[in-house]
Amino acid sequence: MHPDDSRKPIQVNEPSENHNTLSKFRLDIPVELTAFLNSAVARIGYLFPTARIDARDGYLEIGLPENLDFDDFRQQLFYSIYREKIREEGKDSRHALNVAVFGQ
Amino acid sequence: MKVWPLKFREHDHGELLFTNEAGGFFRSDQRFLERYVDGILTDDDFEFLRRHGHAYRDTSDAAFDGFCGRWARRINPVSKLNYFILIPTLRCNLTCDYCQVSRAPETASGFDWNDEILRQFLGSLSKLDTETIKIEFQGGEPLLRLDILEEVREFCRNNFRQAEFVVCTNLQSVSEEAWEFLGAADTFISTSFDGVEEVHRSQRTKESVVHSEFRSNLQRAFSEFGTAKVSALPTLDVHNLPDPDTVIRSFVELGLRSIYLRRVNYQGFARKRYDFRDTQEAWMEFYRRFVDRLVEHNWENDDAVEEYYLSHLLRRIFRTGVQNHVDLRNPNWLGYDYLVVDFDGQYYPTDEARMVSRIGRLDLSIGDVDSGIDARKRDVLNSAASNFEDPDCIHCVYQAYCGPDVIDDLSRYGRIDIPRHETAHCQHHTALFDFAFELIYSEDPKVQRSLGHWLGTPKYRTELAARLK
Repeated sequence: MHPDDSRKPIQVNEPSENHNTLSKFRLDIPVELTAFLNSAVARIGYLFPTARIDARDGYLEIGLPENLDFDDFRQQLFYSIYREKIREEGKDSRHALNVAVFGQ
Repeated sequence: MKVWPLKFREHDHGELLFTNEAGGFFRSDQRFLERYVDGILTDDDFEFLRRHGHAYRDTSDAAFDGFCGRWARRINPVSKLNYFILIPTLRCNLTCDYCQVSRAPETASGFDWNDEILRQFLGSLSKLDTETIKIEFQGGEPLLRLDILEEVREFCRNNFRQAEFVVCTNLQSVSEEAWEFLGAADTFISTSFDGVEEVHRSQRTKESVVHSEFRSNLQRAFSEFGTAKVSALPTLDVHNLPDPDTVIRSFVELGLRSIYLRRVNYQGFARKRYDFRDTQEAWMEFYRRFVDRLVEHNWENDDAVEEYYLSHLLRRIFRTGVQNHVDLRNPNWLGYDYLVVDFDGQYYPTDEARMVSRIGRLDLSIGDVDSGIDARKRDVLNSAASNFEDPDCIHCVYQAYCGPDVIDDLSRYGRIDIPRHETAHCQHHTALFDFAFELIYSEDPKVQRSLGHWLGTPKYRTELAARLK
């Protein structure tokens, strides 16, 4: 997938105040990355405990407090997904490394 | 072609820093990151990654073996016990503002090793499976118990092929017998000098007469023994930081070319007197300013000066096997290759652990000279000695160069499982590594000249700061 295709079709709704004073956003996730979403969302929720993230079918519903900028948050969320993907796909190399160095 | 897993972090001017687990690094941009994540790297990408040690064809490839070797040499192995920090007395003849381990008054009793502790300690030395030994005498003021220092040194000289001794003294009151002791070729002096006379006096010596005595002893130490045998370290209060140029000038005048900037330590009793809140930013601002001045100094002078810890971080970035600083290793094994023996014979894994224990919140002792090492307690401490599987560190671009500090976490938070990025150790080292990489990628010839000095190379090669465009 072309990088522009994978990152730009993010539908961002206009911020709206809800009763918890969180601005709500919708973030579409490219299908190739959804396999890494659960671990990335777990991690990003831990890094940004005041944000609310609900995984839906192919997209995320995100609630952000005033002090979190959506663009920055989106960037960090995608970075988190990338990191999970890289780690997952690096398993074989890490295993080979451990076998070569420790013999197991 | 397979690419070793890369970690990344945003750096200057929209660039990203990429590192692998063996410590290789390069800078590139968002477009590369997306090609990498999408699995659509170009031939040029692969060629760059292969040439810089980030990729291999298969496990029979020399590039694979090379990576394994570099990765393995970054692992700090469990080593034989051959290094002791001894506290023969807690008594001291100064009352420094930030004394970290509750010194005892010079005339107090019950704060020295007794004959039994000395006998048991020497007995434990005789059981060691090592031919070399290093002993660091701390305190209190260790020269108050010169008799113990002499006995320990004599024992080590007679029982080990190679023995080295460091006396960490305030050089306040040094008898002729002590000067003679310090003059031996195998004995080194580590003292404190806060970089600016007024600061040293206000924080340590207090009175002019006392300060003059220290100053005279400091001069004598350097003139008699030289910088090969004498080192001096400043301790700085973040709320009262000195002028960097004055500190550099003072150390250069003493002939010293390495300055280890240390803040007042949070561990121990200093936390009661000093306000440590929100000091990280102020410290890093000063630290950067100090290094900037060092760079200027090194540009204008032939005798280059380093900030010790920055040089250490740079060496850990560029080289493998740099394990000579016990505060930053991975795994950072506790209670194996070195031990602290307190005035009462208790063993501690580090001096900071001793400080934490002295304030009574946590007992981090791991045995004593009588009963030996408490292996169970040591194992518990070492359960988090490594950053290899830490849920935060596994994603950190600096993982290969860094290492955990369990004692610091316990001291500050009473636990070791809080998010890394919220710990002082992580925040401080992230800021330091960010700064180190700023310097590595600097195009300023002044910075590059200093980098060459600090890395011990005749000339800093800018090709070391690789970029994938």
